Amino acid sequence: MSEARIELLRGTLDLLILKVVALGPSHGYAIAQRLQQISKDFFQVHQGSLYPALHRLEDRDWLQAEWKESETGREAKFYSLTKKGRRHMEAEVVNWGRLVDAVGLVLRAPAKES
Amino acid sequence: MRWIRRLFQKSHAEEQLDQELRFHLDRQTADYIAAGISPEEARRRATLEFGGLDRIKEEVRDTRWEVHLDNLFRDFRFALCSLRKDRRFALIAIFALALGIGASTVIFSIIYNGLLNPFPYKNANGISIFQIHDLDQAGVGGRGAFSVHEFLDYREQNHVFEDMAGTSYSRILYTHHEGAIQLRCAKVTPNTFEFLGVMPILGRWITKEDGHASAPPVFLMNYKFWKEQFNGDPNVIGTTLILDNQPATLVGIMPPRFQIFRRRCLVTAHAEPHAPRQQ
Repeated sequence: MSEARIELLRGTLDLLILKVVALGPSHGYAIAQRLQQISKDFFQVHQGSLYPALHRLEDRDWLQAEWKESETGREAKFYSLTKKGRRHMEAEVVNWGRLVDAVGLVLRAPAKES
Repeated sequence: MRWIRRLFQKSHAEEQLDQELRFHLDRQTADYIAAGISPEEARRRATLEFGGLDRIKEEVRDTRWEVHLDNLFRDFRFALCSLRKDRRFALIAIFALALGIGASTVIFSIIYNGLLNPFPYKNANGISIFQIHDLDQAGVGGRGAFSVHEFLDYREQNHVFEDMAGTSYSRILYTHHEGAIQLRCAKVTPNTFEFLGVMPILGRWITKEDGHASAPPVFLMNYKFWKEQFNGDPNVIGTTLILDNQPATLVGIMPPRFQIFRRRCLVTAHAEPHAPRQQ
């Protein structure tokens, strides 16, 4: 994954994590895997960004964590969305939509005939 | 308040973070092995990708504190807002704070002046006041007041103390344009200030040169008298006052804590060895 993509990701990583966790409680590794699968390998989240983000979201009470047995039988920390987190995510999804529309409008503006 | 818990169970939080990251590392390794890479190579690649457990831990810790500072800032703003909204509560809070700060200041100054530093003089533990006592007489006590030449003899023949300073208390008539008042004064030997090591807050202290019989008379004033009679005016230094019908120049003001003599004026006593002795 290129550096340019990481830069793009930084502001939106929180939102992507919240969305992935909203699909079902999962641990850090599964979140990274799912992000990669859903985005068709576009987003390869590095651990150095993923875990600080997860802990930050947990601190803000948007995620809650629980130690549970994972699919391999080993204990893992599972994150799930809180009510507060869901509200935040929904608001952010709307914002993101607006941003994309606005950027699209500007980029698709027809060139003036001169 | 997760961070309070984390503060008290620091090792627990660290252990959990370690477990969480190790789980990730092991899963990654397992997936590489499943994809057909040899176990050693899988482990190596996963570790390499991880780029150092400690660095990631450090980054996670950073996010925590960042959040707390942010929270602190938000709490502070919230507190300010609620204070502004409820004036009565704000007044009570300010009053409580003022009372608390005032009370602790008073208690601290009592403890400081009374217990920690009761005598603000140079080498205060080594200062003694001595008396002469006839050994043939029973009982305690003796004479602590000496004539000028007794004092000079003691000072000349002294090899116990580093230095000796003498004081005599007297009343001096201070004549000014509205009349005259009597001041309780202390006449001190010229070495007294060097002996006590207290600097005046304004001007200079009395020196050995002021002790010469030919030197013009100078005096120092205590803080209280300066405040009461001269409103703490710094320009008063260098003026001449009539003390006991003789002009004397005010050369300095002693600090408020200099209260060893409890006198308003400190005048040089010309009690140096070269002073004329009356046998």
